[in-house]
Amino acid sequence: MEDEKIITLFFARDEQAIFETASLYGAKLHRLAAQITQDERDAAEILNDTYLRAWNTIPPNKPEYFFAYLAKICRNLCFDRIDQRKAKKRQACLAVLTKEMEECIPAANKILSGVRMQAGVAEEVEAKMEAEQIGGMLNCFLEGLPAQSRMIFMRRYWYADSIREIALFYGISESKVKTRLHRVRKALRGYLEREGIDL
Amino acid sequence: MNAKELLEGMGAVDERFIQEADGGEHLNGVPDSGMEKQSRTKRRHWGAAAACIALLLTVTSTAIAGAKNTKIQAWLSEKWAALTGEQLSSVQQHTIESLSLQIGQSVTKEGTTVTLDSYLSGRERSWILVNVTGIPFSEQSRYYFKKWKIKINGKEAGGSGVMSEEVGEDGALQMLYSHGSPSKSNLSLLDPPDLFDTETWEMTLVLDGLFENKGDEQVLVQEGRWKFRFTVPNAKNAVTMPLADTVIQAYQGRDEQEQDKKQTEVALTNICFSETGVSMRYAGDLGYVCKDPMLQERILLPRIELLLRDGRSMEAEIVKETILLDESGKVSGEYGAAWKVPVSLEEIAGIRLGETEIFR
Repeated sequence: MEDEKIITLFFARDEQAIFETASLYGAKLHRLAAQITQDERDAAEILNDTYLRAWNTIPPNKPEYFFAYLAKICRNLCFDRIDQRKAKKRQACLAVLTKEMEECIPAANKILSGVRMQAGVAEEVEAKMEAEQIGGMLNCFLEGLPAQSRMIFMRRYWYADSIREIALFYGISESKVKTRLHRVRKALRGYLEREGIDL
Repeated sequence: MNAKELLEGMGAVDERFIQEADGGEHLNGVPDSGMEKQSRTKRRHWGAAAACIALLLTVTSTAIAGAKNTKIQAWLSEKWAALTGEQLSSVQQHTIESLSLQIGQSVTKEGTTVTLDSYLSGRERSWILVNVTGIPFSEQSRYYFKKWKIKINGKEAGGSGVMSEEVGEDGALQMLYSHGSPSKSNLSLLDPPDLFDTETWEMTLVLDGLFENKGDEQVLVQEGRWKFRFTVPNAKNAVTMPLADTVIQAYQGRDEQEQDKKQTEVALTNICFSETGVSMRYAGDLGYVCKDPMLQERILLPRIELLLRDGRSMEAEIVKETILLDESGKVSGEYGAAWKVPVSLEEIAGIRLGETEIFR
């Protein structure tokens, strides 16, 4: 069934909408959740929560990109779950991605961040840039990227795919994926510096 | 802001970027002029032979039987010549003919006609040739569809996107696509396990939004969706030849680039080749299971080459990899590699995996 028809079912409050959504996107969403949480049980629960949240938000929302809408819910639920558990082992995947993203952070910001953490001057939450603000800034950056690089970057840092998976997904070599990611991280760092991200 | 916040902030990016990076988009059809030079092959010369063949084409809406003289054959013939410097042998020509189907379906949107010209059905990889007319095309530009999707029995199949493109002497744009064959890994738990076991496959090809890549800018040439439905034989039923089980030297590591990857012996079973590629299974013991897939070591098979009876060899392209890992650290997987151009079974002597040669 096509996205539009499924959304029509949501609007008609027909529970078949959940079945059709699961049928069309269940496997991909489950993979995304398992990739981020590294836990099959969490992934299964998050998948159900994703359907429930979609049910509760459509309507009023009418997503233009249905899969992206669901995936966004799913990813946010994954991060919430990880925050709740605070189990370091479960965050191994995120630790790797976070380490890579360090390359994107301008040096001055790293120092400030470190000082703040050591001194405990402010609560971590106060130091955080609002997710929406960061998202807006990333949208501008992504908009300016060539499509290929943007897609690889998204597969790595949004879908949390491994280098190998990205290479297989797009039919290119792993070294090409690594090179491309390195360039984009470097470009993002330059972008953040130019924007003078204020902490 | 720190890296973790940045990573979490990714959750708020625009949904169109999320959708764009989702399946069905393939890099070969997507421009990237700003970051790296494109490696895609662009054919500059459409040979006179191909132009003659074009005049001989007959149009049918659905085809099951093999078709002679399709344009797709002319493309593959040219690719073979570029790879080997030689013409296709008559037996190889016959092989390609027998795998090719003339489709000839056309869909017109606001004056732009896209014709699904022909299809070549292979066990490991298939090729699709489309033809676009109705608007002027420049030989200096490149063109691509923003999105292309191929479904087999309603399920999306793997693919590699546009392989080549050119503006022909008649001013029409020709684009050659390829896609891999589906496997059980394409199925979700809700799909019937025998979804791909039908005698014929019901194919759906969807092309969205034709763009022109002028280097500095990407211009939408024609908005619209062109959708095709056609039937082909089940490519999994292709004739195959088995090769003996063997043990080869492979590597154990996280990826090919890793410096400290360890050499290991891997037993290969169920090796069989077809006119379009080779598939095999392997089993190994990694000793431990890491929950983080990025840190998990894998069995890395060496380069796979096709060995021809005339002594030539040609690297095959990996088109499928399925890895299964159980709790005890035993890993098993399936590999599929495709020949760059279909080859007659008679001409195949065997395969080479790294240093190990396996002959039929």
